[in-house]
Amino acid sequence: MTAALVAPAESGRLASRRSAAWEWALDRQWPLSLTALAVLLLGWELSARADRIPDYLLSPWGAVDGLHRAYADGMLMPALELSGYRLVLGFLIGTTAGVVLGLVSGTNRLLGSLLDPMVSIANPLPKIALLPVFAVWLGFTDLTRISIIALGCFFPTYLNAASGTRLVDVSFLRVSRNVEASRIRSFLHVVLPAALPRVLVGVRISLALSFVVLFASEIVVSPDGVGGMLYAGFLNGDYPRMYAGLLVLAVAGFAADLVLSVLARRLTRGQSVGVVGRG
Amino acid sequence: MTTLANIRAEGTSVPPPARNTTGALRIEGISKEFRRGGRVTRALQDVTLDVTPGEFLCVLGPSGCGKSTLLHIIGGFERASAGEVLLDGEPVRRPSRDLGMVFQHGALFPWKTVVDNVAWPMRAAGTRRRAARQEAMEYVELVGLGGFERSYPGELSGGMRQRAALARTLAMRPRVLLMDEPFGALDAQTRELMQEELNRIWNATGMTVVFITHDINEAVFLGDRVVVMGARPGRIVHDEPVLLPRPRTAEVKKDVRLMEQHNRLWDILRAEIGSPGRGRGTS
Repeated sequence: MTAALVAPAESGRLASRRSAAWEWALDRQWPLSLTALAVLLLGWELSARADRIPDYLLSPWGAVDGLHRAYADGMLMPALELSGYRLVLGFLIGTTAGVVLGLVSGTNRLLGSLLDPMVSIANPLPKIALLPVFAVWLGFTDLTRISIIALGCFFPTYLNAASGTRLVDVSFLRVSRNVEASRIRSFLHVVLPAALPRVLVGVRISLALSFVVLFASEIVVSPDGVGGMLYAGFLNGDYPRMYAGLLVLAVAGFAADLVLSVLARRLTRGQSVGVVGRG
Repeated sequence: MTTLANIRAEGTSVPPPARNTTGALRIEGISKEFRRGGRVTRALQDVTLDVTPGEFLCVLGPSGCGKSTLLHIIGGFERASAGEVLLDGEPVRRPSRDLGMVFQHGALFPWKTVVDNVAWPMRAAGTRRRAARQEAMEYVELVGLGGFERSYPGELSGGMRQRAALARTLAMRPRVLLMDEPFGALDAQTRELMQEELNRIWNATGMTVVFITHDINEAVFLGDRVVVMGARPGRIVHDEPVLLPRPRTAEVKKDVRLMEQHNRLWDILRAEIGSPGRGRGTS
């Protein structure tokens, strides 16, 4: 309809310009996502200022302000340090064990049949339910918290690493046998890179889970760390502090996931959709 | 085995381009049975073939006739239930660099660039990366992929991927090239171009080739000899030479002799496809 009204050359130029902008937006999704987020936050802030929403639903700025106060009175940094220590250690131990044992169980049939039933039994269990059990054994210490986080991280990585290894394309292995590659080379250069996309999916799920378990372990018995700060804010009706805790968890989780996905894209070059392109 | 073609062959002696003295394959009484549950499926029955050094042999058959299984047995990837494969007199027990396989869909490593894929056989043999890449580039050029060596397989078209897969297999310096319907997934135009390319490359290397296909024109255009397999159980039903002159270019595709041979082979193949066992196996 519009095209009929505009001169042919003009419409052609218009169409190409529009498609170029569209292409640009499609290629880089972050400006779009960022704009949507900004609009949401701005709307939230404005309705809070216009008293359209109740007080206990804090405005975004209120959360930032709460965070600043928590920093000023010396609560934030120790909490951050403590939670960061637990999270990093638990995550690293859990995912490392999961990846290594998963790869081993995926490549070695004997070890696979030893490990798989145990994992199948333990996996559906909510890992947080083991917190009291560990507390009985080890006392309610950092060791208990870290162990539970590690345990939570172990299962998704193990399952994905094992299945990723088993699902390696048979013809890749045949190519490897055809060139008479050694077992080690075959594992490092064929099995591992072929399984890597799945392995990294497991690691990413573990990352999200580690935050869940961390938070749960920090609000029971003697609340401390970032989770404890958030929880104390709730108990004392100090909502800015509660939202400050939430903000910290959100930003940390987002940043960690971003780092991981950038790393994953680099590690699986050639295998990601980005390389193949759209359509 | 029919002698129709053999009779025709007499008098017009066209010698196979035997420039090599190695790469002689003897496939002797190969049978293969698959057991699933209590049922035994006979995939191959008493397949015997001789492939002379430097010969380009095409194995033609309907899908499900076991031609892919036969090739995997020749390459040492699968074990035969009976019979044996001899390469230059030595029995083949496992895959080796002497029998280079080009897989149906190329099986290029998607995480490696073209040059690193092609360099992989050298790397596996212990060559240092730089030297391996340098050597790989010669094969990349040979298959006409110069300029694409840094691309990932995911960035290439189907035809280019098969070129890269061929280069990687050639880089193993095999005595025999085994090709498992390598152009089966390509569109008709790309397939024709790839056939001409393969003819050119084979002329340059002169190695023994066993080429599996279900495409009659492809078999006649490429081969020195065409073997037709029947299904259920997989067995050889026909064997005839191709007498078209070499080197073969696109012109040969218009040759009336190619049409005649195509029609004759089609009649033989049609009889096999029409047999009661059709459509129940896998290739």
